[in-house]
Amino acid sequence: MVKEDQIIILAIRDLETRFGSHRIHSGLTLDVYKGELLVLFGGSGTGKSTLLRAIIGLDPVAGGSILLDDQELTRLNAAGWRDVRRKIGYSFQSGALFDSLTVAENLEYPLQEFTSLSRQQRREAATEMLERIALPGIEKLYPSELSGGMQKRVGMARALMLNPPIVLYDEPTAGLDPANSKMITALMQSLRSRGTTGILVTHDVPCALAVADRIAFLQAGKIAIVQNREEIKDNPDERITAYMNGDVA
Amino acid sequence: MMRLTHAFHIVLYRLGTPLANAGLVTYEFLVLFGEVIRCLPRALRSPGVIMERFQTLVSGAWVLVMITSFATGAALALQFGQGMSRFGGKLYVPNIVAFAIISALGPVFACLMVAARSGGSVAAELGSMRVTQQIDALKALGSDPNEKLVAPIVIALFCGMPFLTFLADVAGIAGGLLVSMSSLGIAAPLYLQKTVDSVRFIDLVISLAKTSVFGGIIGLISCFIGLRASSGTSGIGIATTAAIVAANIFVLVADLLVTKIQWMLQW
Repeated sequence: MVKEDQIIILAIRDLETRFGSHRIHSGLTLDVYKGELLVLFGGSGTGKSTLLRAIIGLDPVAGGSILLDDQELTRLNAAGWRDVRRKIGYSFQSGALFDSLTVAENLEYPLQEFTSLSRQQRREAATEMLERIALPGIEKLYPSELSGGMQKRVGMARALMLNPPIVLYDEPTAGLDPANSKMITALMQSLRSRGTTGILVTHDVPCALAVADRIAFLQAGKIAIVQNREEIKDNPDERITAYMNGDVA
Repeated sequence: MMRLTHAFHIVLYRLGTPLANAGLVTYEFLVLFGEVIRCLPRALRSPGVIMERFQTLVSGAWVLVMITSFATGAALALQFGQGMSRFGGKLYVPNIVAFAIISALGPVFACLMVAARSGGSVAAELGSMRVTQQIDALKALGSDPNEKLVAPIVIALFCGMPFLTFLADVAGIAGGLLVSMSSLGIAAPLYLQKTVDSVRFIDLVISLAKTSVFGGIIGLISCFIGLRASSGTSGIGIATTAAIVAANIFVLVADLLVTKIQWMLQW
């Protein structure tokens, strides 16, 4: 539940994004509070993943502003982005593991990039993280030797290696078996309970209802509705009920 | 008159889009070039990564380059030997082979082979990384793909091409020597003497220097096309083919230009 006095960690104002001449977002405004897990719902192609990519600077922004702790992200240079990306973990839909590196090397990558830890310390941190995501002993395997679910979990673990205060999850449970899906949901819940802010893009309604503090509904390039989890459940709005019941894609 | 103006507008419109696209692609290529130059100092701090690229892109290509050049030198000697025997000019074969191999064929074939083998593999690798979001992951983890991927490839090929060209030169002359000895009856010492006499040191230097630049640009072209691969496996295939074709055309045209400049400057 979001309290009145909560701090806004990420403020998006009048955001506009485009792919060529096709407008994805237009006048999108959204606040994300510190420590909350905000779920983004919306039909396919409404720009949920694009919003995450815009926040972390992977897709260009055509207009508006994104403020992270009062720092304007849309006008950052390369060095500025590097600092921001230390604070934001991004869990890719496909895992996006580097296939030329082993699992341990993938996990060590952010530590190597941002910290001065020794090789031994990095390896210990990677091993510890693998135990945390219930995948011990796979350090020396390559991503191609892992199942899709394992790749996603390792991908999420890589995003968490620096203990970022904000994590962006792009459909972490899509295409997973119930056991893997449950494990990822539990991991997100555990991060939320530790105070990590999160934005979750998902079509997985049970997972969203299990982890969300608030749910935002994206439609026609804007946030149409944003409410607490309980309010959304009881909201009679047709758009929401149709989406939750699987009547719209 | 009205019809003529209308037709002119149509022609302009039809030409406009491809020209604008070509301009945009050229601009983006130059931006990538600038980015690589900017991050060269940082990339040079990771010699291990550059050596890894050197091994896969340069060391892995030497056999192919030598076989191609050896066969070219041998075929050149055989054809010129046959043709010139009719005019009693058989003894000029070593000079022709040496000059042709060192000035043109050695460098060009070495570059073409590297463009096909290593350029294709770079485009496929980077294209695959783009399609599977690994390039995005690099950025999201605070890394610069130009520094981590493009610059080491460009440096490895820039530094490695002269070695491959030298091997191509040696293999081409060896091919010519073998044919001259076995089919034209030219003794090895005479062949080698004529080879040394016909090649100037500056020819060798220009040959090695131009392939160094060509190598760097082959790397840059391959990376540029790989990083722009469209989604899906077909996108990777298209990028690989495009990289090989573009790099090959570049090598042939650039070599022509360098040769013309050499000719004009009387080098």
